[in-house]
This record gives sequence, C-alpha cells and structure tokens, in this order.
Amino acid sequence: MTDNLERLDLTYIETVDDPIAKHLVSSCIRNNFQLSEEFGTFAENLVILDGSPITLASPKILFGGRNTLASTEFEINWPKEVVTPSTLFSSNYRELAAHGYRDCMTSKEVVVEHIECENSTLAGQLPVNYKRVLIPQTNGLGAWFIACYAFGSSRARYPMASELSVRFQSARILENTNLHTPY
Amino acid sequence: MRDDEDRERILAIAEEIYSDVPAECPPEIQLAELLENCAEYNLSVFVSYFVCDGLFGHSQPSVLTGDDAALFMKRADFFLQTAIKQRESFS
Repeated sequence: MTDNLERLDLTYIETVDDPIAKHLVSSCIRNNFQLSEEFGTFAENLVILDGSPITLASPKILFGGRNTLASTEFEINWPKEVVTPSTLFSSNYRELAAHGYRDCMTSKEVVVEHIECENSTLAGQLPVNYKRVLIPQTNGLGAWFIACYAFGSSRARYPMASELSVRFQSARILENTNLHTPY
Repeated sequence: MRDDEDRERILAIAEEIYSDVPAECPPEIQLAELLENCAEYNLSVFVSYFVCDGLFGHSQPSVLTGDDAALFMKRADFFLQTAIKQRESFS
C-alpha cells in the first residue's frame, strides 16, 4: 500500500451502501451546515474537529464518537480531552488528511475522499484504507467545526485483542486431547 | 460577649470580601452558567448530544451533579473556548 489521497465526487455517496453517510450528508446540506438537533443524532459516528483557519494543517480533535471507524476498527480510544493530532497520528497521515480539512473549510462544502496510508499512527504501523466525508458545521455566530464520518474501510482485517481472547477460549474448549484421532 | 461574637463574624465576612482568593462557586451554578454560555453560542447540540450523551448516555446536562458535572464542564468547555477563540480571531 502506498500513501494516496483521492478526491471523490459528492454523488459517490449516493452509490455507497452506507445509510449513515447518505442520511448525514443530506441532513447537513438540508440544514445549510448549521448545527441542528438532527445532526446531534449522529454524534457517536463522528469525529469533530476545530475548523479555525489557523489550525487547519492539523486541526484539534474536540470529540471522537464510540462508533467511529477509528474506534471500532483502528482501535483508537479517543481521549477524554482535546486531541492534538501530532500526538496520535503520523506526519504522513496528517499531511494527507490536511488537504480535505482545508478544502472543506475554504469552500464550506462537503468533501468526500479516499485515503490510503501505510502508517497512520505514531504508536505503530497501522495501515488504513477508507473513505471519509468531511462536513462543515457552524454555530451561525462565526465559529466553524469539521465533522468527519469515516466508512468503507478495506484495511487488512487483523483480529482485535478482544476477538483473540474469544478465539483463544474457543480453541481451548475444542482442544483435542485424543492423540489417536488428531484433527 | 455578644459584641465579641459579632465582631468576629464581621471580621470573617470582611476577610472573605477582601480576600484575593475568589469564593468557590458551587458546581451547579458553574454548570448552569456554562450551559447558558453554550446556548448563547449556539453550541447546545454539541454539549448535549456529543459531550453529555457520549459521557453519560443521555442528553440532559442540566441534571448532572458533583463529579459528573465537573467532568462534563471540562469537556463542554473545549467547544465553548473553540467558538470564542474563532470569534475573537475574526473580529
């Protein structure tokens, strides 16, 4: 896998089998990117970043939901405090990701992209290959935030620690003690 | 005797008034003020649905007390400060 960023057309969302992506995008466009209660219902699937133009090269992460791709697949436990991306993600990954943030905040439009990165985190080599939607959100009083919804991961599916534990237990239950009839 | 008690009481009040250390505001009042500020900045969605629901599984931060209220305030304040900074940088 090589580091790669591909910008996708907004119509791509219509073709994907992901109801959250479709509903989220249509809801935000309908609400003219103003924060709404409907937007709040997507909280656990979103990462929220500071949309200030000054920090767009590596915007601070204000919130990470429990059901984000980062949590469920890439095993990132979002800290309970504001995350400075340089403490979590590799410089390669941040460089790739920054293009989308800039474009999203400059155009104040939805950005859809496909990101591939060989080594995304500082903690260790974590290849990622996924799509994401970046949505501008404003409070209507001059402050802007970026909502990120990631989906469609095709990362090589390594077993998570919790799965390994279950597999190990199953293996023990099925352990063959009969030497005359091996598996 | 009564005069001494009154004097001590008055001195204690005066000391509190003129002390450099601000009196600790009860968490319930701090929480109410924070929620009011968040509402003023149109950030109620973030603090209710994202912060409160994410931490406690419900979207009613006004019912929080004690340590829960303190944790909520710390996280909700990130959104408020971000909005305030952005507004200041544009004005």
